[in-house]
Amino acid sequence: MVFSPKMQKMYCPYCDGTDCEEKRGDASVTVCYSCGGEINADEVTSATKCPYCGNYLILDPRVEGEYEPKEILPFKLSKEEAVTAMENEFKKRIFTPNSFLSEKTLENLEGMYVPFFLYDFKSDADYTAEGTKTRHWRSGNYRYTETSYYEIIRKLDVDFKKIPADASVKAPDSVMDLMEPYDYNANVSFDPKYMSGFNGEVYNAPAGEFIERAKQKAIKSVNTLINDSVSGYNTVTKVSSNVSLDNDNTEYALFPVWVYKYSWAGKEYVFHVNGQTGKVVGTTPVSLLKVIIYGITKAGLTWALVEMISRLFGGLVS
Amino acid sequence: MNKRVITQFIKSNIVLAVIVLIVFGYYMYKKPSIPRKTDEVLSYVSGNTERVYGDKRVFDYADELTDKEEADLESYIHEVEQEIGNDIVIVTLNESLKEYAEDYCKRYNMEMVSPDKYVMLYADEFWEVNKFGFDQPQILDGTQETGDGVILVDNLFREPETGRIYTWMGTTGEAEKRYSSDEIDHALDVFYDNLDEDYKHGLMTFVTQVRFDLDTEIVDLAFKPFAIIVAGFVLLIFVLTHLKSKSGKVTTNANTYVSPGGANFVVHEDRFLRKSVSKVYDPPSSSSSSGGGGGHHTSGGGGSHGGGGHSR
Repeated sequence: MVFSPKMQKMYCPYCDGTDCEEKRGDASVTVCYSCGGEINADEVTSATKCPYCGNYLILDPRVEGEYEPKEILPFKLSKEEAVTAMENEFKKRIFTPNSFLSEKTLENLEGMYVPFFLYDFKSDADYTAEGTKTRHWRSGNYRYTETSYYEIIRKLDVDFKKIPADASVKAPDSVMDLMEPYDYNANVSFDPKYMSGFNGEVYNAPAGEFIERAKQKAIKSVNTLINDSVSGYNTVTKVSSNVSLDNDNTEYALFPVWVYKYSWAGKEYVFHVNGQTGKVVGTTPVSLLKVIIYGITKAGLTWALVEMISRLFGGLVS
Repeated sequence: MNKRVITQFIKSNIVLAVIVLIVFGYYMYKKPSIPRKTDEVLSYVSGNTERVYGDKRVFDYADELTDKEEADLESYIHEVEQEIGNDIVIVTLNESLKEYAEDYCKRYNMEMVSPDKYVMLYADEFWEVNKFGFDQPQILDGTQETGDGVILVDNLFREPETGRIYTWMGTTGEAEKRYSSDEIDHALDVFYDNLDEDYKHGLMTFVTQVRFDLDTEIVDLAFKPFAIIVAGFVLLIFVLTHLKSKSGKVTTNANTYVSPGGANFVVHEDRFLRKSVSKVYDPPSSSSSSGGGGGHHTSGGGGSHGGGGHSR
C-alpha cells in the first residue's frame, strides 16, 4: 500500500484498489517486510525503499511516541506533476544540458518527507532612528537648502505562527528556505499511512537546535515591517533597534519534497520540488557550449545592428 | 540537437533578429544605389556634367604658375579626384576682395564680414556659381548631400586694413562631412609650409594632403570599432549572467508567518526635532556656446559649406 497524492488515499499498486489492507511489519524491523532483505537505514531514516524489492517501508519506532509528528502535509503533487513542474521551470533555464530530465535519469526522482519544527513567537521590537527631509530653492544669487530633522520611533508587536525550520541535516537549509511557503491549511494530523511510498526522516536533533534559524526569519520579518513603516525621508539613520522574541509554542511536522538527483560532467546536482506547491529549487547545470552559442549569436546580431546604425547615422559614433 | 532545443534557440533570438532585419531593410534602402567605390571599382566617375568650366580646376588669376606648371597641377588634380570622388578647385588671386565682399553682403543682406572672411565669400560663390561638385552641382538646400569637393582660394593681395595675405579652404558636400576644423587647419598648414620654396610645390602638396584626408576612410569596409566593442560587451554580459546558474526566487515575505492581524504598532511616531537652513553662493551660469565643427556656415545663396582660413 502506498499513499497516492492524486487520490489523497492509500492505494494498492498490486490490486489497483484503494481499500485493501496490508499488514505492516512489527515495530523493530530492520529487514524488509516483503522480501526479508536487510534494510540499511541510517539513524534518522523513518521511511525508505528496500534496495532489493523496491517496496517502501516505514520504520514504525521512528514515527511513534516522541518521534510522532503532530502534523503532516501530505504530498499533493504526484511524481508526474513534479516532473512537469521541473520541465516548466527548465524551459526558462535554457542552458541546461539535453540529457537533463530524460526518462532514464528521472528514475532518481523520489518523494521525501522532511522533518520540520514550526515555531511560534511573540515578538516585540523597539526602533528609533533619525530622519531628515531636505528642501531646495533658489533666491537671487543663492541656493538654499533646508534640512528638517525628525526622531522616528516605532514599537511593534508581532505574533508569528509556525515559522518553519527543517530539522534535517541532509536537507540544505538555503534550499529548504526557498521551498517556503507551505500552505498549512492542508496540514492534517499525523498518520503513518501518508508516508507509504516515500522516504522519510525523523528530526535529527531536538527543537532547540534549529530555533536560531526560525528566529532569524522572524527578526528579518520584523525589520522589514519596521522599515516599510518609515517613509518620506531623504535619509534615515538608525539610532537603536532591538527585537525580542518569545517562543511560546513549537510543533513537529513533516513536509513533502520531491528530490531529483542528476549527475552531469562528474558533478551531482540536486533539485527539490515542493510536494505541495510545485515550486522548483535547484541549481541547474550549465552547458558552456550552449552559453557560447547563444552568446555569439546575440553578439553577432548586436554587432550587425550597431554596425548598420552607426553607418546610417555616421559621424555619431565613429 | 532535438526539436525543443532548436525552438528554444529561435525563440530566444527572434526579437533581435527581426530588429536586425528591419534595420537591414532600411539600410539597403538608404544606402546610395551606386556604390561609390569598392575594391573592384578603383576609380570614381563624376556624375556632374554641368560645370561651367568643364574639366578646368586651376584658376591662376594671380599668374603664379607657368603654363606647364598649371597643366601638371590640372592632371594631378584630375587623377586625385577619381581616387577620392571629390572635386578639387584651386584659385589664386591678386586683388582686393573688399568691394566684392561689400557687394556680396549687400546682395544677401548680411552684415559686413572681417577681411579674413572675404576669401570665404569668394570661395563659396565661386563653387556655387561655377557648379562644382564631383557628384553633381551643389543644391543650395543647406544640406551636405551635394556638391562634393574642396576649394582653395589664395589671395596674394595684401588687404590694406590688415596687410595680410588670406587663404581659404572651403569644403562642400562629402568633403564638408568628412573634414573637421583641425583637419582643415592642418591641410592649410601643409600648404603654407611648402609654398615658400615653390608655389606649385605648395599647391601640389595641398592636393596630396586632401587626397590623403579624403581617401583613407572613403571605402568604409572597415568595421566600426564601436560596434565591435558593443557586441563584445553584450557577449561578455550574456555569458557572465548565464554561466552563473540560478537556484530559485524567494517566495516568502515579511508577512508570511505573521498571524492575521498579528502585527501591531504600539508606537508609531515621527517627531519633528529641528530645522536648519544653509545657503550657497551660486549665480546663474551664463551659458553661451557656439557649435559647428569644420567651420560650418551657410552661404548667402543658401548652400552649406565648411572651411577655414589662414593668413600670412
